Amino acid sequence: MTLFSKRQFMVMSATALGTLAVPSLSFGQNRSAKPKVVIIGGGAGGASAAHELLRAAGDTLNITLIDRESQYTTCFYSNLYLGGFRDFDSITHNWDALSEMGVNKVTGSATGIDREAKTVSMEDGSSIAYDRLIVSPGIDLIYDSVPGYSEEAAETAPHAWKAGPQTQLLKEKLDALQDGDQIVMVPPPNPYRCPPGPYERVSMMAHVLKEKGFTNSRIIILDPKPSFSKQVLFTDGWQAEYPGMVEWIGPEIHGGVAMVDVEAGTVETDFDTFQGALLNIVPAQKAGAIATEAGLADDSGFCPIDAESMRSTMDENIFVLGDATIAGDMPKSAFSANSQAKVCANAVRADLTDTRKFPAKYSNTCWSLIQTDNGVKVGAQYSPVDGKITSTADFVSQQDETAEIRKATYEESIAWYDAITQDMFAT
Amino acid sequence: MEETSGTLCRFVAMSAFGAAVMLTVHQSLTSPAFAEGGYEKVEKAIQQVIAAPVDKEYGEYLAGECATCHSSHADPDAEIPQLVGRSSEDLIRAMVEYRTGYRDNQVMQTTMATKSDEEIASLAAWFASN
Repeated sequence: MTLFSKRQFMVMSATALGTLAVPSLSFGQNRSAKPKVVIIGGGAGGASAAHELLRAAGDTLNITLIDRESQYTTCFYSNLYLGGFRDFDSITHNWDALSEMGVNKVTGSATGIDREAKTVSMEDGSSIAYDRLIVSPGIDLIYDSVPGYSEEAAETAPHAWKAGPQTQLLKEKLDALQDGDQIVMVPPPNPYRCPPGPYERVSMMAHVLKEKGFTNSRIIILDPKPSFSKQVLFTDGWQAEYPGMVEWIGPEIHGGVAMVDVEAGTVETDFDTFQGALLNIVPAQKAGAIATEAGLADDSGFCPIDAESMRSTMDENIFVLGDATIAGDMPKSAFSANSQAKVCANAVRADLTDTRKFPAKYSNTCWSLIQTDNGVKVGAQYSPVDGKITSTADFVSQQDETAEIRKATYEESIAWYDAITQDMFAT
Repeated sequence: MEETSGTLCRFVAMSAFGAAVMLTVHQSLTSPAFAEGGYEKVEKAIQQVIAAPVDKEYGEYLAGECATCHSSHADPDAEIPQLVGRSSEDLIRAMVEYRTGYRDNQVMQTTMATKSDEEIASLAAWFASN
């Protein structure tokens, strides 16, 4: 908070001094005279939008990026940290390069949006005015969607669905298991962040157990969904790489999770009660609170957008990106958010600087690692069709691929991670 | 250099005249158009894109999609190559080879499946000039 206040004071002073010292130059060159774009959330949607706006229109726009943190740990690739394929530092980034290039990074919590006044209110009482606002808050967890689970319970049974301390906690608990210990995972119901994520996570946890020679340990998945992303690729992979270790149980068998007791380490279903030395509970999700409180979400808990631009259907001055949106056929992923940011940046720039608005085109690929050098992927191209973001071409890894192809797929994901984080953080 | 998945394919992709080999190696992945006409059809499509009108500003916008995976300072050994500074013709050739299924990579084949001649030409023009 102190840091933020100082920084904001410095920015304000610099602007004021500039105006006073060279009044004749201030018209048209004064930073504050440029149209103001404010971005809430510095993740795959928000940071990508900031970078794209800076790259395409940095001279003509005043760009502010608000995030409460000064560092960002990517949720994508956090499973690889769990599996021991990445260290924590390698998935942790910051906005310093964007700041140096001219984005006004405000480190503080945005607490509300006054859509009438076109301002964002901050926790320290200040407010930030915008001409266009980009809201990219990610998800909030609906803890009580799993009976017995809560934010407090997550300190014992981590969800680790927001990267950071939760991810580190899950890793600690995973690394502390003994042979014979059981892991129980409860994945979230649709729609949720990173559709293949829970199953890649199971793969990475199985990898750790196998590496330690824990032949007596088991991972039980109590899924609220009857099917999941890349299902056959994962189940084939588990059978081949971790025979007998992973058991997936769908809702038609377990009948639903009735109660979780994190202290006792039990998950009770209609079918049976499962005991785990480690419980990984990922509850249902909704758009980040700031979007909901500003009236940008509908009854689904997520934010409807115009498929041509990512503009909120609730407010023409506001755009919403990433996991918080209802983006038609697009999954909630960092890749999707980054892709949406390009479309949004083009529309925002066209709104404010009289430049061309191009047709919306979106893409996504989700890579998942099953075991060392065994990567799989799913992806698609998307365009607006009848007002909805619709898949126009797609692919998924084949079941009978060679080990060489699987290795290349994993290596491709490494190159992608480097590229998308550079694209987000301008590094 | 090439964004491909296997050694056999990599060999073929490096050879501009490897059409016959390609057919036997990646029959299941080749598009009907390519299977019928061999590399001549691919070459014809490439020449058509080279002759297509260019809108560099549109190319710049479209290039945003490429940046998600193609780093502008990628390691030379990286599985996904860097695009900036390559010749327009090389880029067009690669993109059309993916679009026809001649080059093998699911992501790139799908990405290119939705790109028109003008879009490919515009993308290539933008990358070649930056």
